[in-house]
Amino acid sequence: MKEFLNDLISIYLSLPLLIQVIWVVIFVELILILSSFIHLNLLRSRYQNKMKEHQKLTDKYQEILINYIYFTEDEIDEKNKTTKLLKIAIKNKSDRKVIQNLILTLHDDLTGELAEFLETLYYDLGLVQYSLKKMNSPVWFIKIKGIREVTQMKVKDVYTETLMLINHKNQLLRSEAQLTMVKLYQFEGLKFLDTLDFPITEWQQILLIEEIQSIRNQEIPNLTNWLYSKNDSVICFSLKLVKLFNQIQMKDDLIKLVQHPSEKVRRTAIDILGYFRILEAKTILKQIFKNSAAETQLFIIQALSQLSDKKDIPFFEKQLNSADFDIKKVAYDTLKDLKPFLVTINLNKV
Amino acid sequence: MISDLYTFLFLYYFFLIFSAIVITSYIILGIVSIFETISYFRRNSFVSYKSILASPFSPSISILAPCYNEGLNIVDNVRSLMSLHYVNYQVIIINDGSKDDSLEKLIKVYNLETVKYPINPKIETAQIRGIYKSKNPVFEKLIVIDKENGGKADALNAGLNFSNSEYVACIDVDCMLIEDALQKMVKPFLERTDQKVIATGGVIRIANNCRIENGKLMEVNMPKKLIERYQIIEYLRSFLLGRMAWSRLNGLLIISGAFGMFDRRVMIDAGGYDVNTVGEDMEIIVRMRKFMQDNNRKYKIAYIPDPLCWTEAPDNLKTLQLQRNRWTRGTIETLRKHRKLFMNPKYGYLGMLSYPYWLIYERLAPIVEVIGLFFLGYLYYIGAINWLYAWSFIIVAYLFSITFSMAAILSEELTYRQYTKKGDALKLLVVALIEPFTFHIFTLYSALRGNLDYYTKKKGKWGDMARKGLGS
Repeated sequence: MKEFLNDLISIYLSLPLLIQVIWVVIFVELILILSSFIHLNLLRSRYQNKMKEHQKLTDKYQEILINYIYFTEDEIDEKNKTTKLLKIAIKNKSDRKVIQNLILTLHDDLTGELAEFLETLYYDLGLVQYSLKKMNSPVWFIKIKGIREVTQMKVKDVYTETLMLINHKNQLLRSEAQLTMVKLYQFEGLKFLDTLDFPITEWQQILLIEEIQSIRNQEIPNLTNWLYSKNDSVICFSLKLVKLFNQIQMKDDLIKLVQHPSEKVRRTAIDILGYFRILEAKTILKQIFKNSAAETQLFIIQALSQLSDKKDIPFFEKQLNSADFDIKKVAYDTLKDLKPFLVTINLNKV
Repeated sequence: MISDLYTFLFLYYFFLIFSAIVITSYIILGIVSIFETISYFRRNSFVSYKSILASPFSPSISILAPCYNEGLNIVDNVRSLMSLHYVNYQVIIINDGSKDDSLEKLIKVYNLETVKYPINPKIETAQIRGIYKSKNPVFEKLIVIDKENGGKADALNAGLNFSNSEYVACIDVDCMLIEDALQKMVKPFLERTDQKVIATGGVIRIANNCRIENGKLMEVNMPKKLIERYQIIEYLRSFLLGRMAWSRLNGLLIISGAFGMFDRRVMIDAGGYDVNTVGEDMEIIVRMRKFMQDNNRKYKIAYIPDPLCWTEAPDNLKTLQLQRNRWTRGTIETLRKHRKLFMNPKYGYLGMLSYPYWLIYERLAPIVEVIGLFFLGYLYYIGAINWLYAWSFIIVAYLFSITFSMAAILSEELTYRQYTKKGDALKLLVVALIEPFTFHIFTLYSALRGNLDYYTKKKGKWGDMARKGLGS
């Protein structure tokens, strides 16, 4: 064997350099292919074993937890016994993970008293400490996991830690912190808008608004300051809140924002003026129409369409000559409403 | 004699360097895609799509689905498209002058009636014969445009003219979308503030032999035929390794025509689909990118690796050959049309990296490979072949091909795990082992035929494929 290997090495060394390099590459490729195949099979069997084990533990603890939340007040001994049993179980890492996930999943599907039972249990078992530990992790995705867990379990004493993450350089982390502020502290949590340096993405705005919509029995905060924020996305977001909460009394601020330097802010403000049918905005909208970009012109004419009366017929007639089809179409539809018997043109031929 | 020697040396070094660059670029793309996949998974493991489902602020989307002689499955396909989980969308079916009963079936089943509706004539199309909407409010999302035949690109342009949504999702009507496909595809458009996302591409998966009921994917199965399995490996390599990496480098030059989402305004401003190419899906991306760069606007083309769109792959050589032929002609037409981009620093990555890569490794690679084979044959004929070198190169290339396929299979296993049945891994390995000297030769032949057809001006508009239908 040794002799064979020596022969092999001497043959290899006698080869030209290029061929030597190629055979090293071939050797590496063979190792990669073999190890990939072994890894693939190992991955599969490991995954299947893990799933089996996970399922076993899930079945076991799911039953215990469901019984726990339906214990009546007379069954306080059983309840304490279950808590003790779970406290012992969480000392084992894989059991703890399953129990923690199960509590969070069940909590997601429950409301009211039953959800509160689970929150109490989460505290009693000391799982909050594990979540807080995750929240303090230097790894961003573990940190997010921790934030999610404390938010779901309504751990309210994380205000300062969360506020500190509002301007974190990691976009996902700061988005999560913003959501947590609203979920835990409701309108009070919106204070993060005062100090936010980064833009809020459209996606994040949708998530925040969905959370805000679920807030009950609270006075709507004063949105005025945010409408004059240096952060344009904060203005756009606040404008959406103005629309959501029908803050029509803020019409003067809305009219001012029609001349904001940011195109996006202008468009959002114009859209809301039309939505609220604020007639006072008509003059300024007509004034800025000519010098606006085509897309903004579309927003303006749509808003004006909602505010229109017969005096506006000449304005809309003029727009029938617009080079932008969408603008032309709004003008046409508006004129059809304003003077239905007089519009006989074929829009496609205008 | 001296000139023969020089030619020999030139060809020898040319093939050596070409192969070395191909292998290196594939390794780089593979590594980049691994990092991008990990990053995508981490970023999206926290995403909740619940909020966008019902939000009044969800952006509007139009699904544009051109249809030509799809009478066999059109009713089920439309039903599937109308049951997606998204709040603010419409389904626009464009009947491109079908000769079968596609339109009649739609009218009957969905209770359609003609409506008058002005259409933006910004992009010229074949004549519109009529627009239909349902009398039944249950199907209010559905709009059918009936038009004269003009080809797939023309049909998509008609849909584009009609739509007034912020985004358009262009799909092949016979594809099956996963229920949350629109939520996932629209997300990249909404999460960027530093640059405009102009398009999002999705992964296309092969649905042959999968169990599909009422337009929903119930069970993923490995296809039975070898020809279909080859395509599984090929798609995994292309979508999980290739495009993922290009997405990271913001250098994607193609979004599959089977499923992609676009910013409607940018698409119209760039001029819509080109009706004079069979590769309209690639051409529109190149043109939109060029448009953004010409206007000095920061932009990105995003890519979603989730298995959102499932399609029926060709299951016989004839259809497959026609498909590959069309792809080759589309690539040639697009690259020729935009040849000014080549090594043009004004276009940054697009001109200096993406375009040259596509030109060399997609457009020219099959030709170089065939010349290489002829060169080998010639050397054999004159008895000048050095077998030690020849075998070493053949083995290294063969093993590299398998390594790359294995990387794609592993990537799939670590991420989406669609093929979980016992024996599936082995089946994929066998395919990876035999593909280089079977399926690869076939695709090489199809690419050459595509070249030949391009230069002899043979054309086809819709690239017919005999459909068996998903779930039938």
